[in-house]
Amino acid sequence: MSLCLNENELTRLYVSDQGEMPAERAHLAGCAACAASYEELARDSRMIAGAIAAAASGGATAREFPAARRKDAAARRGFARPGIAVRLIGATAFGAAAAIAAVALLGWRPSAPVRVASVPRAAMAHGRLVAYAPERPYRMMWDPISAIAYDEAGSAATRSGDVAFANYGGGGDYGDLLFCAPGEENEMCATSADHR
Amino acid sequence: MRAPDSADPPKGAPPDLDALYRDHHPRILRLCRMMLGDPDEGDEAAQEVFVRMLGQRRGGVEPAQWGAWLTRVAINACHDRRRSGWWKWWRRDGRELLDSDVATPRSAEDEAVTHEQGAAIWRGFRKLSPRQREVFVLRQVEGWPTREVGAALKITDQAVKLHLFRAVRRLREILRSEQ
Repeated sequence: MSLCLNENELTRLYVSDQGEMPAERAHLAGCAACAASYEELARDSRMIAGAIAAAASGGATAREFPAARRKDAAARRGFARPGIAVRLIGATAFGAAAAIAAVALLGWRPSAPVRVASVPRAAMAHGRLVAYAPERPYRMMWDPISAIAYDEAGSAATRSGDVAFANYGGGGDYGDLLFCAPGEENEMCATSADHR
Repeated sequence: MRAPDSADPPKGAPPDLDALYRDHHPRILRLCRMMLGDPDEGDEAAQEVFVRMLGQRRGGVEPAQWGAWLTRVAINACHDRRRSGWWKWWRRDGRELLDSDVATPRSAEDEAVTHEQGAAIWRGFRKLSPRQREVFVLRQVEGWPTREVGAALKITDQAVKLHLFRAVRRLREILRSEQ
């Protein structure tokens, strides 16, 4: 082989094992320029390896053996570092908690459930729809067993069978529950008393 | 041929755990940091290795050479950690070495690398593919033969050479650009 080795060939030679690439090795033995380039490559590689090893050896001090012992003891007690699945579940739970905290910080408060049973009969008799807004209805989920209605602000529409909440008598803490059908006028909504 | 463990007992007696830790921890820590390209993760992985050592000891099975056993466990621990999707997501950026992390050069050849070059080389090293990093570390830093590297990483000898070729070429480019 008469041509000198290019850098890629020298690098291939460098990473090869003894006995491989015999033609290139023969050329290297007889060519001072290629031998010098090869030596430079080898020196660079040693420098790089040394720099990486030095970087990885420095910095933060290594933990003491007791840390490994403590970790081992924790593992034996069943408190080992959790597996991937457990950590994922933990992360999901953490995310959910963070979302709830964010919502709470933004000021949203769920309405207190309204106990139909707590609406005074007398008030029911004089119930008057004063705050029902069809364009911004409240959808309320009715639980007939617990007799508790749960509202959900901002729902898209009031569906038949759902209940809409309306204050009565000037907007106190009590309320009446009105069962409405889509498109119905306010007056056509029935009080909860009519559905019970 | 590796030197026998200095912590190996004279005869019959099991090696002292503290001595094993003292003898092997710096090397295992460095290996894990290099394999993972992240000092903090390397620290964690090295701790895992010695926790496994305690477990192995408790199980009553003594390896012929603790040094080789610990190295093998370290490689597997780093491998497992690196392959976990969670780790990839969590550590996709990792921690850069701080200036204070880059150790003082030790040998004459190390001294030829300036502090800035060392930091640049480490940054470039972290950008190599994980496989290139592993091969470079085992072959160039630890001085393992190709066949052992391939066996440890479960790849062919040709693949070892290919990854090493690419790693050397890339890291030399970085070294030159810093000169």
